[in-house]
Amino acid sequence: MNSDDDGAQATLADLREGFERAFREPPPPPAPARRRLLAIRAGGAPFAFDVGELAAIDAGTRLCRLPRSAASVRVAGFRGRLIAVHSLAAMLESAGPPEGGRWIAICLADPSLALEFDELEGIHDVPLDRINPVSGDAEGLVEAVLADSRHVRGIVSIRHVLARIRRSAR
Amino acid sequence: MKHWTFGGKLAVALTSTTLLVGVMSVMATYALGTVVKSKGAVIDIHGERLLEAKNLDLIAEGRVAEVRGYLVTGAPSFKAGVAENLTQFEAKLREIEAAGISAEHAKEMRDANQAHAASIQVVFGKYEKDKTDASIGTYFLEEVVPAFRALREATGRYSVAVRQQRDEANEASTKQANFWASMVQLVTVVVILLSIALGYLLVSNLNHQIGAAVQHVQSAATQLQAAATQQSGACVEQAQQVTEVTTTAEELLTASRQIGERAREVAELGARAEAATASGSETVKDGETSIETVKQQVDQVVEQMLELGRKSRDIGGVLDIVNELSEQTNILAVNATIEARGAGEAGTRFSVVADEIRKLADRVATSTREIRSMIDSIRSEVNTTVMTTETGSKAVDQAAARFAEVTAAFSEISEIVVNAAEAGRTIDLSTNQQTTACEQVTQAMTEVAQASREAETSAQQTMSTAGELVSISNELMRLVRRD
Repeated sequence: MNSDDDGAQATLADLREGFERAFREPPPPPAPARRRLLAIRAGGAPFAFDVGELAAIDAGTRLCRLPRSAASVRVAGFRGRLIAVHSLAAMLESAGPPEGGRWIAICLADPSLALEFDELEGIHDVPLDRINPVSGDAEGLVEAVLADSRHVRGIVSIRHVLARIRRSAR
Repeated sequence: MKHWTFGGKLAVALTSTTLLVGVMSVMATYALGTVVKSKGAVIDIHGERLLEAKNLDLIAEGRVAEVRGYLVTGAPSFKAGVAENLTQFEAKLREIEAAGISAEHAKEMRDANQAHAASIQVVFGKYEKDKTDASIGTYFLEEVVPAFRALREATGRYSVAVRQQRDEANEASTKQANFWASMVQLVTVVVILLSIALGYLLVSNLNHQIGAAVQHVQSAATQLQAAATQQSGACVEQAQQVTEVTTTAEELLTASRQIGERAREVAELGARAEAATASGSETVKDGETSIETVKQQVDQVVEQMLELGRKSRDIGGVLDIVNELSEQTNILAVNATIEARGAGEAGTRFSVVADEIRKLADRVATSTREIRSMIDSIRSEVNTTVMTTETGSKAVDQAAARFAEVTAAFSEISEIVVNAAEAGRTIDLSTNQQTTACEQVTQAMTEVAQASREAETSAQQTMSTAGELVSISNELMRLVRRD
């Protein structure tokens, strides 16, 4: 048995400990005001969704383009329903070109609409004092920014995204 | 003419001079003959004519004596003598006419002779008629004597004319002789000038050629002298070198003897090496067998490594499944978190469980990535090991091939050792022969040294001779060229 085996055993023990601790400990006390965000990447740039604005996420969903429709809008089947999938990178002017993302986020406000993004980075509980609202741009899709140790992450407002989609549909 | 020989040029010059002298001689002979002929003609023809004129005079004189004899004696013989004299005179006159006398003189003498004959006939008639006739004397004095004088004058004028012709012919002959004498003198001068010119050309040409030849001889003699000097020096040096060669040959003789001894030792060592080579061949064969075993083991290692690589790929496939499961779990956990959020306070505990599941899925994903990294590292190491093992297998193959070559080399070495031993014996024999040859070389070198000394003496003689040749050529050059 060498050092690699020791490391694997330690990792396994750590996992087991963490899993069991979750059931052993009492429920956590009410947390201070926090906002739960889904960290993603779209067009090579970091963004985030408020988990409260999402109905679900999925990966590897097959997307189909409709004839005479924009390249950034496709349709997919999700939980027995047909939904419209819009490219988040195409909608965000600050993002780069879409990289053919395989993730979709279904909007809670309108489950028939979903946003396509490239990569899921995780879920973070962020204190509100680290979130800085973006002022002076009520029509913008990014409502706030989150500055962490590595970069600045824009928080996308699903509500504003839906409003823009509806306006463009009219 | 440039390539003519010296004798040829002399022959041409002498022949040309001889021809010119011959021409001059022919011309002089012709001139002399012409002069002699001319003078002879003067002497012969005109002397004869003078003589005949004198004869005519004498005949006429004899006639007078016959006439007087007849008139004194009355003897018929004188009369017959007169008649014969007339006949003789006429015959002589015709003879002179035939020889070319002028018609004027012939007519004058004939007329005078006939007048004299007529007067004689008249006197004879008177005498025969009357011997005492006093007119006979008168007639004789008045007719016969004048007629005789006229005849003498005629013959005298003829003689004068003959003399005049003789003088003219003599003068013409003298002129002709003078002309030919001048011609001969002119030709002589021309011949002399041509001979001088020819001689000058010949001498100039010969001087030029002889001078060039003498210069060549002088140059050759100088070169010969230098060569002889060099040869003399070379002979001295050669004698020294021969001495060195003799010393070297003696050293070579000693070395040959030592080589013979070493060759015998080599032959003995060859026999020992042959035995050692046979032992080495056996050892090499054992090594070859061991190499073959190693090769088989290396092949097994390679096969096992390849199997390990295949297994690693299989593990990678399983990891893909685990990773997919982890991702699905993560999706479920996120969705559970979203659902718990939507459930409000009631979903708090569910949210905790979902978070733990999501964390677990994250850790599984992290571990999966680590395992994939490890497997990739293992596969890379396996590939490296396979390549190294294959390299080792090739090295083993090469070693096996080298062992085969070593075996062949040992066999070759064995043959070479045998050959070397044989060569050692041959060298022993050859060095014996070489020793003899070296002794002969030493002897020959002694003779060569003697020959070199003789050659040196000869070269010095040649040098002396070349010096004399230079002096002679200088003298010759001085003779042919005054400058």
